[in-house]
Amino acid sequence: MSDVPEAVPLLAVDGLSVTFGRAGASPAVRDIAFTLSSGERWGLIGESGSGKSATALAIMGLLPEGVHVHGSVRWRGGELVGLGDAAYSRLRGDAMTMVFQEPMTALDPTMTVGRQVAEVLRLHYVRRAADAQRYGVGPERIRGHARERVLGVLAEVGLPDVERIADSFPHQLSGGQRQLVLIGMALMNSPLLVICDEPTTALDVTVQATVLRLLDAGLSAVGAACLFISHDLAVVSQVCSQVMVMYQGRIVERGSLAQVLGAPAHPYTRGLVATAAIDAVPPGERLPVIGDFWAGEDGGRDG
Amino acid sequence: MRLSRLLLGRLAAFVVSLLVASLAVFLLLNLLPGDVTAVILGNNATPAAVAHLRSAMGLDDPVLLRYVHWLAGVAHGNLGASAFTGEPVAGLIVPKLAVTISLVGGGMVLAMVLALPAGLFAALHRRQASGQMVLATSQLGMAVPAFLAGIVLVVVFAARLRWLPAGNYVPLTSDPLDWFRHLILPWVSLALVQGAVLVRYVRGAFLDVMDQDYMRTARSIGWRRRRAVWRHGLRNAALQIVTVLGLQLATLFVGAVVIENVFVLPGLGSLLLRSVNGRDLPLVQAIVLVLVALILMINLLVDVAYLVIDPRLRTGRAVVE
Ligand SMILES: Nc1ncnc2c1ncn2[C@@H]1O[C@H](COP(=O)(O)OP(=O)(O)OP(=O)(O)O)[C@@H](O)[C@H]1O
Ligand SMILES: [Mg+2]
Repeated sequence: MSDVPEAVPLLAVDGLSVTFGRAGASPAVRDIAFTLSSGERWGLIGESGSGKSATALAIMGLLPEGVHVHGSVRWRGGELVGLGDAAYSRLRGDAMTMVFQEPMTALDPTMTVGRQVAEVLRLHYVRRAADAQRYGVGPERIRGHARERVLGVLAEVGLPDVERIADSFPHQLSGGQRQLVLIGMALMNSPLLVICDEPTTALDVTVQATVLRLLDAGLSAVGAACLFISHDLAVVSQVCSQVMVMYQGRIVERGSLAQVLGAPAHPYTRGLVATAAIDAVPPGERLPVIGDFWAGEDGGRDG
Repeated sequence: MRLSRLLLGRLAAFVVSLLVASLAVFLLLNLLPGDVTAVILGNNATPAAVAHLRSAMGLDDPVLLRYVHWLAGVAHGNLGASAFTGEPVAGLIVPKLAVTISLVGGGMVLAMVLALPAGLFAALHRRQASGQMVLATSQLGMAVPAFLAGIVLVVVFAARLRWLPAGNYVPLTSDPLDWFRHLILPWVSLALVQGAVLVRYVRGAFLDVMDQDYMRTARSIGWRRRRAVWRHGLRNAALQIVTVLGLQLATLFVGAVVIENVFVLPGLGSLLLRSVNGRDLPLVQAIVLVLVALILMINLLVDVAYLVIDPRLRTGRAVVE
């Protein structure tokens, strides 16, 4: 870490475009650029289909084969676009991790939770062993105790009865518990960046709040940066202090949460802010519709 | 324990199915017009002779009583006697069964050895020419009739090159090496056709699994593409593949008759065809019963495989509180 100059951001996305299907098809992500420095937490907000997941998967290098990615994604100065699977795999799950939207299907149904969590350790054992040398403990210190570390991380994300959870199969856990397991897996190797793609959308509201709180605590504990995808401003504001707004594949607005909430510049953001404040509409008055926010605008809406 | 209880349940279901199936087989064959006495005595037999034989064979008893008698015999290993030779049917069937099981068992093992890696390869390379080639080859293999594959193999490897015998069966117990040599060509021709079918299902199963969310999770924690498939795809794909294997095995016990004919192997399918042609009712009945039992046994094995592979089936849904 010490060999990376202070000025180089953790993640620098520049001119990134993602196109599904034929090369000529209309891109899902269009020429976006942003940087993310160590420890920063950015929300990425936008309506369904605006390209949020495509952006996340492009950064993780997890887009399916045959999807065209253009532009640059630099990780601590090194280019990730076009990086080979081997090098990328050393990064994924270690320095850069991800939590997905649907916890019900995100774990292998045929393997116990504990073994799946332990894989996160095992996969990055070689790098860990190097660390061990640096910290003056034998590698066996890190290789061994896998069970304790698995139980430890499950406890850290607030799961009860960790022994039983570790020995359970995914179908024996609730959605919220599964998502906490996945968050634990994402935090286990003390990553520098955690990408969360709508991690609470599939959970019911009471569980949502708990999971967000535990995610927030977990991110703070390891000091990881976070790119938090959502289409809900309220959810983003619980984890992030800064936010980018995506609309039809472009980032149309960015800034601190207060700034964006206080003076939304783009019509889509204005709509978003207004719908978030829908409870404030006096009874009897008509609720705002999306057309209201486009009044007087003709740019921005492109096909 | 839960697993053993589930296994017992499957076993009980197997026994019940076997009983129901045996009744169905018995009723079907015994209520059809035309009875065994005509076969034995010929069409010109006097009514008196027919009546005498009928009562001697117990054919005048109510059909359910006859079923119970038959079943009691079966339980003691007595499957009845051939209408022609009077030989015990069991003695006729067992050696043929050994031939068919040797043929089908070995052939399917070979088919799996060919098809599992090929199907996995085709799935991993679905977008490359190499993967498409595997698919096209399997298409070709499916188009070739089994008997043609057999004949070509005989012509090349037996008639011209003289490397292997063209047919006939040598029991395993009399000479294992010869048994093996005689079965190589039949195995290969069976495996080519069945393997071609299997490749497509294996490819489909792995493609399906590779699209699952847990595969993306596996990649996101640092598994490389192939290793992820190996580690998290294999068991999940096996669930689908086991189903297909079960179906293939079940159809092959009779379906292998085509290959039995090409290679002059005296198997169960050949015996069944002969006994049906000769209207040897007790023999037909016994063979069908054996086949039904085999198929139910395969289903049982498939069920047990599911239980072993899929924890969702063997553990409760109880959520940890
Ligand atoms: N596998 C795919 N094949 C083809 N098109 C895709 C694929 N995945 C996404 N797209 C398209 O790319 C665009 C962006 O999708 P993306 O999943 O990034 O949206 P999103 O912002 O994450 O939406 P959501 O809030 O619904 O998750 C959409 O128009 C979608 O139809
Ligand atoms: Mg999405």
